[in-house]
Amino acid sequence: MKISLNWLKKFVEIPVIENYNNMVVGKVMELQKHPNAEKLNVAMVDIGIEQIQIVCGGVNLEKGQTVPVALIGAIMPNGMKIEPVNLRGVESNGMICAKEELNLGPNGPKEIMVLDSNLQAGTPLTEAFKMKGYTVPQLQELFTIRTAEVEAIEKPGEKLQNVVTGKIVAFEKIADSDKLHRATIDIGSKKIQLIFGSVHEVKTGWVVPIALPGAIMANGIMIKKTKIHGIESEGMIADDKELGIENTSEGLTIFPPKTALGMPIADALDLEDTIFIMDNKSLTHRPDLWGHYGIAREFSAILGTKIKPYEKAVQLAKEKDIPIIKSPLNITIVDKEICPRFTSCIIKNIKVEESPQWLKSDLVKVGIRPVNNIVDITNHIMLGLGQPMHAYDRKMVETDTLEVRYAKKGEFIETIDHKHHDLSEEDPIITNGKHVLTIAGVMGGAYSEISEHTTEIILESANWQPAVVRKASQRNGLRTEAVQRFEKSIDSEMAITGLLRAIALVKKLCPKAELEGGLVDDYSEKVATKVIVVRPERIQQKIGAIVTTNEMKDILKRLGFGVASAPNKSLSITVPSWRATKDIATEDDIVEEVARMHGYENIPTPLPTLPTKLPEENILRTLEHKSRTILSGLLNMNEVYNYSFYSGADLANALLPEELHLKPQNFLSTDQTHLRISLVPNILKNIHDNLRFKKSFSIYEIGHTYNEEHAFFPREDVWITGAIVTNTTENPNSIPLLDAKGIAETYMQNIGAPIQEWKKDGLTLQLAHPHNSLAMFSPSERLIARCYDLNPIITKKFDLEGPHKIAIFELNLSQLSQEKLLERKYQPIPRHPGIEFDLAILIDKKIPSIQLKKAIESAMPELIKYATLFDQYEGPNVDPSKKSLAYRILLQSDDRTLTEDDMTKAQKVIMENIAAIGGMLR
Amino acid sequence: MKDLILQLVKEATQEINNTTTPAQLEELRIKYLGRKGSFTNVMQNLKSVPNEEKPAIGQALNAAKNELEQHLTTKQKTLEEEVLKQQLSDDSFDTTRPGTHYETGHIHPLSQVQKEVEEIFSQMGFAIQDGPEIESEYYNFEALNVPKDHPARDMQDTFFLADKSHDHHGRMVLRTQTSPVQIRTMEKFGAPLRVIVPGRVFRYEATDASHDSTFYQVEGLLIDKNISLANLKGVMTEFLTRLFKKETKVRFRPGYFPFVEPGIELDMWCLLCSGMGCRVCKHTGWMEFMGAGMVHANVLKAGGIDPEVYQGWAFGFGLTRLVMMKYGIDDIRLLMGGDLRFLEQF
Repeated sequence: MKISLNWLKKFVEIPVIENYNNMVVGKVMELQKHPNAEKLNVAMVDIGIEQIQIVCGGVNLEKGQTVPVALIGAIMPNGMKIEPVNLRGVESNGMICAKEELNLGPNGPKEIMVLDSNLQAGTPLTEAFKMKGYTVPQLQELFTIRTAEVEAIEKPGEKLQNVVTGKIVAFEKIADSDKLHRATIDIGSKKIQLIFGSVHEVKTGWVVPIALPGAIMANGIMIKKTKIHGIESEGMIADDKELGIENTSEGLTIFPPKTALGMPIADALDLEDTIFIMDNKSLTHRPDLWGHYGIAREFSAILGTKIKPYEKAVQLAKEKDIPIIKSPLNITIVDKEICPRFTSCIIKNIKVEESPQWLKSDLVKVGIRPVNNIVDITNHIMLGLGQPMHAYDRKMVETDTLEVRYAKKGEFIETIDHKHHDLSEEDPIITNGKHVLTIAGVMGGAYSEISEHTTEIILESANWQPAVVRKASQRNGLRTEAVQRFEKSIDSEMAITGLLRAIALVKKLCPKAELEGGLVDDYSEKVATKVIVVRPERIQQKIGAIVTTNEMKDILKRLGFGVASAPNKSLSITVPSWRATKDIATEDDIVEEVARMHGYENIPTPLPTLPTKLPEENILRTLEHKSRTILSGLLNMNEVYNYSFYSGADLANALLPEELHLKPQNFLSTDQTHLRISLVPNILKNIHDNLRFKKSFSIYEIGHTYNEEHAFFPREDVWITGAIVTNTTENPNSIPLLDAKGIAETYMQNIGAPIQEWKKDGLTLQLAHPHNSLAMFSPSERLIARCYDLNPIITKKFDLEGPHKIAIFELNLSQLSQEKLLERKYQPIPRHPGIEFDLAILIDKKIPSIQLKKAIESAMPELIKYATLFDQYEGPNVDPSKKSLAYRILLQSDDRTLTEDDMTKAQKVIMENIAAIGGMLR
Repeated sequence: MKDLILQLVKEATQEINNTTTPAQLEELRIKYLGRKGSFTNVMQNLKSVPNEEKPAIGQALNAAKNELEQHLTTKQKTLEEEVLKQQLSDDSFDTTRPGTHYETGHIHPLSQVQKEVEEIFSQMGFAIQDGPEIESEYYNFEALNVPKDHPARDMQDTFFLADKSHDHHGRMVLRTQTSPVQIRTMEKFGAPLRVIVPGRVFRYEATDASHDSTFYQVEGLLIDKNISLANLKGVMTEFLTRLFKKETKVRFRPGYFPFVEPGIELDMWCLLCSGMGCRVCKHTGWMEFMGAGMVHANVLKAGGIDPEVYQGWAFGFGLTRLVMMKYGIDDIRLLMGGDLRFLEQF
């Protein structure tokens, strides 16, 4: 929302001062002629802390003078920034200012301003001029920290520099051109010649905007003196589009004939203004701030200046203007909850035409396009007071009997933007019995729209139920200015004020206009005055700063609240109607009013005292971080994050059962239609993407899975899912499944989880290779880890075939975080040396190695400390039905040093055990 | 005899002086001092010396031997030093060769910053809490004082789950904020309460360089008998100062969130200019950091806490945004993209 400072000033006193930052009083200590420029001088100026050199062209500059100096970094009122410059070989570090440059009035040509010689060098200009007030950036900052964010400042006039009013004295077609004309333009101080095309029809005597050399058009092009068809052109007739304004529907702004010539059009159009651009989101809870009057009220509270009552600041229709006879309007509000208040009247003898410039300017400045006088009046009241209004063409409505109700099935409307809407039974409407005239509070219908033929209008100034308006707006896709206001619960008290203001404005713009009958006011839902009792000590305790009761009273009064003392040192607060609709209801709401107006910046920053009880540890979260340290820091894996979704195609490709999946009703893309029950599909996509750049890598993700288990809340588990990708060209002997298994075991060893025996993974998971997969279960028989080669079907479906092998591991973190961890116990260091020896054994391929290991270790359990498989071989020199397994075995005793004999004996028993399962020494 | 000894010493000293290698020196040692060396010969001749002269000759002989040995040792030291010097100067190792490359894995930047945040708040006595990512409308909205049809629901475009509805809980949603965990922890632990909740949240929002449907937030909640807005300023100043490892200030502005009253927006000093004003902060000196406020009485009530006894504040900031700010990441999608060329940078 855009707010005009000039408009605010009609309601409240806002002392605005120029931004004289970095401008100080200076004394001319020395003055010399510029060595290379006749008209320039070089001055040494004392600015209090030092002397600076300034090149100056002022004709009245003298040694010893006291002058205003703009230092480096100063921004002049016209937007120019002061920077160090080199003027014809001499450095200049500031500017001695003229009156005009400080926006303090006119001065003679090239005359600098001379100040009172009693002023101290270095005194800031604001102080020297005894300026009291706020710069625009200060106002922006104050409103932002007290009330709501002012996102930016706009100066509509700045864009229109060097564009002036000019009268077309004469024009003629250029002989050898179809379209070009030569015109003589009077711009006050002189007459200029320019060439123009034939986009707009023009007439001699018209006063139009003339862009002079130096003007910058909306498209960024700067106007220059130029020659067209050999004829000199000293400017351009500029239309609204070229100027970047929306002032007239005709496209070219034409000023009244008596307009002064050569006047900057920013002045002629009243666009010399400052616009605050409000962040609408920060006004969500403040229905009262959706118009200039509300913002003015807030500024009055912030600055402590007086606000004029609305009825004194602007003209309202007076009692004598309103006929005593009853209005012919017969409004029936069928569905009462839709409409808390409906005020209305009929005005005859209207002449619909373009609005006067002041009205158009007010709208243009804040971004609303002028349409015609009647529509502009309704918009002006919405922007000024915050009350949306609507005007109907009475003749098109045909009847004065109207109904307010929910739409019925089959009813429809064409809104003024010429879109057709089939209405639902929840849409609020106003109807004449034949047509739907408007979606109430949302948008009017094209059927009864104000047109140039309109001579009689029905004016509506109502309040509509916020939720109803909001839903209707959403359902019909119409987010209008009116909706933005009604949905926030505006003050019903405004409705009648808006109507009276509209009547006054219509009468002003159409002097012949008169009311037919009196006003209609159906006020079904008058809100009772809201009174809140608050406890000052509690307010202070919540803010955490010392705010006296007197200060609280003062703040609340400034904001329009009624304040009275109540028993037990509490205060009885009467909420003004404009704050009582929703915004202010409890003591906490008053805390906010006091806190923000006391100034959040004035609140200290103490830390709360620490509790004596330590916070409870989040075991799962600690484990997650530890897992990352192990997997990334120890095992060289990279962590990825993926979305919680995948597509129907992904889950089909991964052979996951669709019925276990939860599905978002609304999804952003067809890639994200299902919530994951496994982290694998997205990991496989990561592999696919990374294979374009890398050959071997390993990645993992820690994330939630969501399982539909037919309870209301689904089951969420946290999994670590990882993949090892090895390149078979570079590393033909790699067995990523063993890497996966090793990672899982090392991981569990590191977190201290007891490693259970791996089992064949007999689960339903089809992601895994039917044979090359194994699983580990906790003592309570819950799955804690699993690793597998990818099912070849899936490799193919995810387009992962190529010179690489992929193995997956999955760790059930939710389960692991609940497992009892091993307690580490010290083992005495063996005192007697052991004997280590290797055995290579040939055995049937089908016998799992674990069986052999057990056969060895059970041979002499008291002496054999371990038997580790360190090599496996199949191929030439080994019977094709067999494999060769090499074990390293350690014999060690706790109480003696072993001998050759012990080893021979052990080997014998080991070989007997091995022979028993069909193995032999190789 | 004495002359012979002197002659021998002279000869030997000269030869020792002329040696250039330790091997030559060893040869000389054997030649003069060895078992069959010159001095042994002289010793054997000692028998022929008259008895009265024996002590004197013997002494001279020992002195000569000692002298020679000393010469040999000194020379040996010199030669060894020379050899070492030569070896060192011959050693031409290329010290500019790269050190051995050790492959390490990389932890995702979101995880790294999340851990840092958790550690700082833990030190201030905050517990780390979790909650489900799939929530009910009740926890995600109603209990947080955002009734149905409240305009604030528009601010958070929501994913709804198909065909799931419950009388009390309403529909099932992907949580749009970490705030529902406020209610869950209040229900579970009651007051006082001091927790943060880092976690994944979802918005039904078109994706571009600065918006994603999935991102991370950190929720904070402090409830006790005497907790004020001033404490919030204190805690956040401390947190940000520690996180960015330089002095940081915060400022409050009024803001609106239905679950707090008063509601505030918290700005932090611009990371680049520390409050001086620069291009990055649009010359304000401040950067928007988070929404916060005093927990709304309705929210406390929904969590089963008596707002007349307890009070406190809550905040929520974007962890994803913090990570992007910290590392200068300009496209949010990189974080959920799984591209190792990105992830290996952290």
